[in-house]
Amino acid sequence: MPSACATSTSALSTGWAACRDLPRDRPVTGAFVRLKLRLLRNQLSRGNQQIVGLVIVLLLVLVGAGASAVVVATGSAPDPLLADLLVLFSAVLTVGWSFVPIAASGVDSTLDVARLALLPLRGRTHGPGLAVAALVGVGPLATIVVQLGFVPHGSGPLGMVLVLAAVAVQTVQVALLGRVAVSALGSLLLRRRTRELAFSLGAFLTVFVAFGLQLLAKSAPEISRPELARWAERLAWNPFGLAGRAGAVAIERGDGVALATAAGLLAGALAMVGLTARVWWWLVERELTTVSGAAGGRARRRAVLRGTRPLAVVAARELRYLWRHPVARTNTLTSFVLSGIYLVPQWSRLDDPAQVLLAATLVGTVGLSALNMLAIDGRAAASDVLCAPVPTILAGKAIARLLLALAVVSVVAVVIAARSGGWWYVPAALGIAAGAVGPILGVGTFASVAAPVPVPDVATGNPWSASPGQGCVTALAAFGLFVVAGVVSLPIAVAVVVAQGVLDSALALAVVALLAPGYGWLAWRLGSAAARRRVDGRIPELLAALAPK
Amino acid sequence: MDVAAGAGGAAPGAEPVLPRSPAGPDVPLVPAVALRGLAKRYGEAWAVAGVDLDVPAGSFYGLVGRNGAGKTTTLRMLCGLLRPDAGAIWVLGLPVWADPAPVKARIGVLPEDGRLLDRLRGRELLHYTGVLRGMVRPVVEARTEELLATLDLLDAADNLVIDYSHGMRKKIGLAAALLHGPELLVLDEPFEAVDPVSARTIRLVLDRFVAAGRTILFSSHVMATVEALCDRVAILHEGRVVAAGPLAEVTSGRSLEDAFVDAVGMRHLDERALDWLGRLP
Repeated sequence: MPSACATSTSALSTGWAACRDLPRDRPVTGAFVRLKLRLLRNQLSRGNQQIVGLVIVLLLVLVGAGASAVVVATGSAPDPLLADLLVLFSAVLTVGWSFVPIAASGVDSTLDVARLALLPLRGRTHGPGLAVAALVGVGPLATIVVQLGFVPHGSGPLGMVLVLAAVAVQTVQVALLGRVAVSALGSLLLRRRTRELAFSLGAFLTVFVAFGLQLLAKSAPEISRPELARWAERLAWNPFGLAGRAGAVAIERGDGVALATAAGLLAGALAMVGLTARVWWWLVERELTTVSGAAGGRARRRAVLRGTRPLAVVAARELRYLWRHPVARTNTLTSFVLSGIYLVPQWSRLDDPAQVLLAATLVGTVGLSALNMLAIDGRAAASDVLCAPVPTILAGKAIARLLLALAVVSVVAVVIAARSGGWWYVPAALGIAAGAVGPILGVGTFASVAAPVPVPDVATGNPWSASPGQGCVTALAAFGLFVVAGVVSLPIAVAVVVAQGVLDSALALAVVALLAPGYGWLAWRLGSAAARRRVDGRIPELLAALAPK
Repeated sequence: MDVAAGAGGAAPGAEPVLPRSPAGPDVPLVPAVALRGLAKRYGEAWAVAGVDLDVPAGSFYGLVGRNGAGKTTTLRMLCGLLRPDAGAIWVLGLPVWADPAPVKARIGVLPEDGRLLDRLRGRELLHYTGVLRGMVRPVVEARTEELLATLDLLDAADNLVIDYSHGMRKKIGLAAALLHGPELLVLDEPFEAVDPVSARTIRLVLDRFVAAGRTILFSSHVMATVEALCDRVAILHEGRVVAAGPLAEVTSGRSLEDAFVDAVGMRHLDERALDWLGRLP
């Protein structure tokens, strides 16, 4: 009887000697480009929403990039200023491309190495294809277009050629850098905890970047020319911006030494591209051999939140979900982060005790998650509706968000009270908040069944994965619903202004704080009743919308 | 029956013990797959705890085990998809972890949770799979049509893979695995969620594959399927091979299910357990 493992080492190799004569690898760069284009095209064929999204993105990004390029190309800015701007722009591209592709790779399955893991990928034959495919898309196109504005400013024809080459090399460099970032984080993002942490940090980052951009936009006109030059000098060391530096030199001077310097810098940039490509392929090979769902996990902790009635059970479960599910947790954390952003700039002016009432306005921070309450874990909604009526499920979820809103308001109200001494206003702020959140939850309850939007399944390798175009459509719908919720909340706001601002009466404010929850409850009930009518007999359509194929 | 196959594996974490042939050089079959002291750990738990196994060339080899026995982890490691913590793997005579690419070029794999480029249509998926494998276009096109027809996917060939049912995804995955004419086919639960007619078709395809002298290694929970298809079988339990060899020797006159339960043990159900299920509300 042959043994299960009865072969010598030499036989293992020599018995299959013929296998060593492998067929010659064929270059497949064109196939990767075609594959990328085909995937983009198929994505658009999924529905009008994707097409609308793409059109909006094209308008915003490409037209914006083109307009910027035209402004730079036709402007009369002095060459040294343009040279500094090109260096600074290369640094911006370096930073941007290091982070943005991580957020975008979920929609780019040609570059999702996990989907190609079964193929015999080799750096020489497949690496260039994957790299070139990374350059196909709106983002890379916009990167090229916006840089083209610098080309006409090259010193003489040779200078222009050098700037053009610099633009090409810089684009390849940053695109490869983006791939390095994605591949380096790829295996980490396969781990659930890392993925969730990244997701939460991503939300923080988004908020702070938006905040930073606002500050930059405000202070940019005040930046002096020497200050700009100093920044350009500081950022000229950026090894991934060597091509930009080459272009800057070719813009600034047209003599032989300058052009030779630019050519030398360009050669250095090409070497850097080669090095980045090598590091990237090393990361890809590492990624290809860790395609696995990591196992393990911590022991179950005792459930803290319990309930017996369906409404209480749903509310308790939703509160857990608001922390456990990465998307919901991001919303929860964002609510608190927004509170911080609200507080910090006004810290020095928070000396009036009545300012505690402003904390009530933060109920709006739960609005975004309230507008789409059934979508978190949308695929599980089918089992949910088998256990309890949809209105009960929505009511439980609304209660969880009410508690979250009150928690946010409490924290901010207490902080302001500690600063201003307006402790009396804390319960008033909470009463007003409980009233103000009602319209948001009412509109949210209706919107959750009338216009549900699927939330991407975070079980994929990328927590930011989404369908192209979905963002714009969702944002537009959310904006409209926010306006409605704001209008319905207006009576409470007016009552508070009259009680505090016009009458300046503590009694009147107390009455408003006591009556506001009743008004909020009424607004929520109206929204719930509308949602009940809407969902009646349409549960299959609701489930299909929450978990499309 | 050779039940010592797995017991002789390297201790988890130890240096891999490379092949020491107890049978000598006169062994008739050269293995298509050879595993020596293969081990993989997830956190503190050893998913594969020292597996030694030879899969003879030309065999239809079944890998069976309970949930979590280490089947999928073992298959992923031998396909070059998951780096082992210890041990060595030869596939078709090539050491997998020296360079996985040539191995992948010669094998076809249908993973259990295979992530496909599901925004492609079925026909497109096969086309790009072939082209990216370096096959010439006319061959890819001819084989694509033949595979689609054989696996009854022609009607769905122009639908996006994301719209396929689970069984159809299995079939298109199998077509992608067969497209380049591999010498070894590694299949993880290939019949899961596949309808009986398609399952019969797949069995015929696989039988023809083995009849041509090629090798199949596949894992399954369905003992009847393994028993009907395989000429050899290995039973994995808690990351080790507890029984391996020709089917008749492993089963010793019993059904494979009985042999399997005997090999891995079974906790008997308490007579009073779930008695509420027998009462009407």
